[in-house]
Amino acid sequence: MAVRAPSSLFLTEAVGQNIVPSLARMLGGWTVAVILGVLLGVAIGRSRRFGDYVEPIVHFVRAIPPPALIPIFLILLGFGTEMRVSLITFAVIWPVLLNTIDGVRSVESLHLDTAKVFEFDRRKVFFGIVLPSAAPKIFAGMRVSLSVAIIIMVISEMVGLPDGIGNVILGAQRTYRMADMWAGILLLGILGYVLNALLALVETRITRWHRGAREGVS
Amino acid sequence: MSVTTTGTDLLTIEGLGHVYEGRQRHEAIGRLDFTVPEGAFVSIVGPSGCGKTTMLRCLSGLMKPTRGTVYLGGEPVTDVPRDLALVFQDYSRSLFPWRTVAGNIGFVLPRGLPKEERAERIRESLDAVGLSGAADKYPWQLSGGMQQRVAIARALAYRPKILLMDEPFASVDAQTRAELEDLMLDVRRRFDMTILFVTHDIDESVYLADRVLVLSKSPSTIVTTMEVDLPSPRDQVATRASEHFVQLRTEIAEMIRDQSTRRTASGAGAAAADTAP
Ligand SMILES: Nc1ncnc2c1ncn2[C@@H]1O[C@H](COP(=O)(O)OP(=O)(O)O)[C@@H](O)[C@H]1O
Ligand SMILES: [Mg+2]
Repeated sequence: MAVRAPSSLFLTEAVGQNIVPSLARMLGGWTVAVILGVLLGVAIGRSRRFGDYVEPIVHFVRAIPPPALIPIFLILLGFGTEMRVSLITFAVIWPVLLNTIDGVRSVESLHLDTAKVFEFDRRKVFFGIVLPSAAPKIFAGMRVSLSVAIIIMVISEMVGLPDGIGNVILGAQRTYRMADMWAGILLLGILGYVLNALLALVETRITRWHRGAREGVS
Repeated sequence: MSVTTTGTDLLTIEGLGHVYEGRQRHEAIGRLDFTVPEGAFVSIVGPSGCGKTTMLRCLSGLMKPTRGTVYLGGEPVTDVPRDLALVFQDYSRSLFPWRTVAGNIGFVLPRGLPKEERAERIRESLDAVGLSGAADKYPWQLSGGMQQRVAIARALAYRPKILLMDEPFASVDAQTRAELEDLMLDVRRRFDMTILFVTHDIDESVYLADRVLVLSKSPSTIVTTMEVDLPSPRDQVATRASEHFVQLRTEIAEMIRDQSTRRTASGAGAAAADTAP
C-alpha cells in the first residue's frame, strides 16, 4: 500500500504551503465581510431612505448560492487569492449584514429617549447605545459567517490554482491517498471547532451583560 | 409647609394639548395650563391612560405637542433642555444593561468633566440614594426598587434644575415605595431641586407635594389644584395619620369620583378611574 504517514503532509512544508494560506484567505475574507457587513448594516438600519433603496437588492443578491458564481469570479478575478477571498467575502457577508440591520433597528426606544434627556451627541449614541445594543446579534451573525467561511474556503480551493487545504483533500482523493484525505477533513473539523470556540470566547466577554440581563436575577 | 419658592415660575405650561393621529385618532390631552414655581414639589395625579406620560414627554421636549407651548425658565421648550431630567416609569428599560451602576451614572455626565469630579458626582449621587455598595454591580443584578434608585441617582448626578418623574414607584412593593418616597423628600432638600412628580396614587401625591394637580380622564384637563400645607418634615406614619392629610386625600378622591360619574353619565368615559386606592 502506498499510504504515506499523513503527518508528513500536514506538519512539514505543507503547513506553510497549504494551511497558512488557506487560513489567511478565510480569515481575511471573513474579516472584510464583518467590517463591510457592519458598516453597511448600520447604514441600512439607521437610515430609512437608504434602507428602502438597498434592502430589496440585498435580499435578491443574498439568495444567489455563492458556488454558482464561481465561474464569474474566475473570469473577473483570476485563479488565485483574489478570487478566493472575494468569494468568501461575498458568501459570508449576509449573516453579518442582516443581523446588524436587525440589531440596530431593535434598539430600545427608551434608551434613545434617555440619550435625548441627557443630551448625548450622535457619536455617543452610536458607540454608547446602538453598537452595544446590536452587539449580541452582530456576534451571532459573525459566528454563522465563520462556519460558512470554512465551507467556501474549501470549495474555492477545489478550483483555480492548486493550493490550500481544499486542494490537498481533492488531490488526495483523486490519487486514492485516503489517509491524507481524512487527515485534511479532520483538520477542517478541528479548525472550525477552534475558531468558533475562540470567537465564542470573545463574544461572552463583550456581551456578558446580555445573558445576565435576559436571565435576570431578581 | 407652604410652597418654598423664590416666587418665580420655572416651568410654565400654556394651552397644552395633544392628539395622537393615526387610524384611531385619540385626544390624549384636552387642555392644560399650569406653572411649577422654582423650588416647588408639585405632584400630578390622574387615572391610568389620562395622558400623564404624554404630558411629560411634551414638557421634556421629547415630543412636540399638538397645541400649546411649554416654557422652561422663560424659554420655549423645543428640544430637551439641559436643565431638565426625566425619570421614566420603566426603569428596567431605561438603564443600560451593558454598563455597571457607576457606569450608567458616569455615562450621562458631560465628556469634559475632570476625572475627580466625575468620580465625586457618582459617589455623591449613589450615596444620596443609599446605593454606595452597588457601584460595580450591573442593573440586572439589582431588585426593581434598587434599579429605580439607580435611575434617580443618574438624574441627580446630571444636576438638573427640574426633575420630572413619571410614576416612578408604580411597580415596586409598598415598603420599598415608602422608602423611595422619603428618599425623594430627602433628595429634594439636599439638591435643592424643583420636582414635578406624576402618579396615579392620591396618597402618594399628597404625601410628597407642596401642591397637587388633579387630572381628569382623557382628554385630560386640570380638575383642581390643591395646596398641601402639611408640616415638614413628613413622616410615613404620623403625616398619613394626621387629620389634615386624610381630609386632603378625601377631597381629591371625591373630586375624582364626581368627575368620573359625571363623565360616565354623559357618556364621555366608560371605564372607572383606578385612582382610588
Ligand atoms: N403613541 C401613541 N399612539 C396612539 N395613542 C397613544 C400613544 N401613546 C399613548 N396613547 C394613548 O394616549 C392615552 C394616554 O396615554 P399615556 O400618556 O401613556 O397615559 P398615562 O401615562 O396617564 O397612563 C392612552 O389612551 C393611550 O392609549
Ligand atoms: Mg404613563
